[in-house]
Amino acid sequence: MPDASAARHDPHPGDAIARYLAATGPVYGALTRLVSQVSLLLLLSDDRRLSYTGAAAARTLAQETETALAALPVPAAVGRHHWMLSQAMDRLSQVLKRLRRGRMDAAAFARLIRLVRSAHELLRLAALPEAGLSLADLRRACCSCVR
Amino acid sequence: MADYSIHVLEYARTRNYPKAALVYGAFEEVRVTLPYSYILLRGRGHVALVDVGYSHKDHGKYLAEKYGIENWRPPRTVLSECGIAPEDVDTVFITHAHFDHFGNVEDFPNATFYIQREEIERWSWVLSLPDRMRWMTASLDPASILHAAELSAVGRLKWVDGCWEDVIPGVDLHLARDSHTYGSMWVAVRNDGAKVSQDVWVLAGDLVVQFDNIERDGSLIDVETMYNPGAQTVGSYTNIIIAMAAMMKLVGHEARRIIPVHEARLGERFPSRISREDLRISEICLADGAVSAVKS
Repeated sequence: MPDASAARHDPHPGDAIARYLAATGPVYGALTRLVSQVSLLLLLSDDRRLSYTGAAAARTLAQETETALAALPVPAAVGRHHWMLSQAMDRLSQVLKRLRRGRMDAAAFARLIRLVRSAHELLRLAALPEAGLSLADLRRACCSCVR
Repeated sequence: MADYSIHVLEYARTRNYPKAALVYGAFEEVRVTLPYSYILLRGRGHVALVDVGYSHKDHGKYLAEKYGIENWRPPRTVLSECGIAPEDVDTVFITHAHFDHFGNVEDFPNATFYIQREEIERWSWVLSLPDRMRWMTASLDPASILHAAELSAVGRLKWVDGCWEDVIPGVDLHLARDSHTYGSMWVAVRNDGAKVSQDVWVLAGDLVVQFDNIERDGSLIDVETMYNPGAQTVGSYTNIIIAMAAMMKLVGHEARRIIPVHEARLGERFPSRISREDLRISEICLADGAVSAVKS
């Protein structure tokens, strides 16, 4: 992720990266939640019997996350990491926009599924569990008891 | 007469796990080994699983290093001990959406998945809540809902609304609302096929994680055994105990017929063996004419 050649031009790359990672944690967490929420909206569009009123909440979360992502301090060394998060955000936004337009055929639905899958893959690649960027927050999960 | 063979297949484990997290109130007790398992059900023309474990691809290395989960093996390796491949599995019952039960959907390309509608709906509601309430999402992998959407798109996801009798012949699904999770499900196998069965096995998911949840020493209150739920729940302990009572009624109060998947002592109660991969296979029962997977 951190680009070595760019890092050489930063006199304190470690500090800058630490600041970036600290600021990125909540944004990364919001992106993972968006994956779940957008997936659920897809499920809804496929099965009208599901009751869920979270569409507005998902759109609000998307807007807030997009703004927070754009405001992150991004040292050159982690440009690629930030790019991956931005790409994930872009894909999730595309799905939300398409869902607002209503019913779709199977091909369009499959395309949206691929977009969410792709966003999830980007987040998986951008995961840095040791820095708190993890797809699943397992700090309070059953397995955390062994620590 | 028995229609189904039932095997509990360990796929990973963690050691040094506090008993108090498994049995509420056991604060003074020792740490134990916690196996992670799924259950194989074969018979009446079906190969079914109760839960699918988690995907090592996504979180395995992290879990192993951070939380000491060890010896994870993929379904192909685990199932091969019973002569089964993941492609053979036609039915999967998901007891709840925690990562270690619903995290490995992709490995079963021919299976139809059954999950309680409330489980998905309520998790999704929780995900829309403010960060301050994130505790409620512990153990949830966002990929699970994505998997559900993918399965739904290809017609391989079946919603369960409460109870469902004979989902496959002799197998019933039950809802324990607001218990271990929001829509936890347990599975009852009527192994003689009778409507009022004398041969019921209950596959309890995480509503009963260890024998002690259902057979806790009750001498303190002058009973032989008492129910004692696990400590990890987002719902109500009361609802867990009510579910346990329903399970016990169904099995004629024969506690050994309620199968917990996180119990390391299954081998003391049922025939079992340790596989080449150092994972336990426990044989709960055998269908008529079936060959044992644990005895040579």
